[in-house]
Amino acid sequence: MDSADGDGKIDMKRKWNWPIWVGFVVALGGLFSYGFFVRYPLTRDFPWANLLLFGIGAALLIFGLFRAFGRPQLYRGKIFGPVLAAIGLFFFAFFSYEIFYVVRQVPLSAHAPRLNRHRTSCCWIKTRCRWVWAICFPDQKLSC
Amino acid sequence: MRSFRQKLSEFDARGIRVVGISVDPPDINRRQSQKLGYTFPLLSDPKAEVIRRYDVLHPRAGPKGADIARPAEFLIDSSRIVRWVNLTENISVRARPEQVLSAFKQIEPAEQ
Repeated sequence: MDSADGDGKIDMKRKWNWPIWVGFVVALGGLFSYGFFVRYPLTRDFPWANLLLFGIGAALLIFGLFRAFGRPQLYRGKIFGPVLAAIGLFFFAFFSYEIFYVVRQVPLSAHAPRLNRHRTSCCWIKTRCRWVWAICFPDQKLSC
Repeated sequence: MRSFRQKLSEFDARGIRVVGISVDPPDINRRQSQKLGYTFPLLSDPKAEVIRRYDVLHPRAGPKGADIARPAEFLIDSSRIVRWVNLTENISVRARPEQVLSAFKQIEPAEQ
């Protein structure tokens, strides 16, 4: 806060509320970094790295919102804070929907060959100018 | 597939032949193999004939509603019997090469 000028007005300069912006960017990273983390089984099978990023982003956003609404005379963010938090929440909802619902919509494959119960017939096929034994068709159910 | 490529020498050492199959046409599979450095055959089944016989078709799940194959892994022994199957319930959770090698290790005595 600057001292009063000649007109008696107080010139208040509020600070940049960085946790809101950094939190939003981290949440954005949580959404788009799955393309990178999917390369590694540890972070692909369960997206804990992405969830961690979303968690850090949420914590920063909440901290930033508390600053914006708790001390508005010092920090900015009463308008863009909730907007960015809502967008971040939408990112998280979209990510959760994709990762915990869409990717699990796999057909049952009830008639897929089962363990020790199907014999296959295999045929030779040609790939890149050489013959390889490659394709085996499930054609016979073994008697148990 | 990438992890299978990385462990290919271990599969070769055990006499296991790794083969991938997809609905993509040969030129796309060839490009994909070159791009990702696959040295095992990546076969094309554009009409999903083999994929259907394995009942691993995922209807309308591909680009523009095209049929694709759902992720699945099969280990077939030299007497052509299916000895290990992995039908994932989550597209992003695939079989790891270690799982296949472990399954092979368990059936290996029967193989010899």
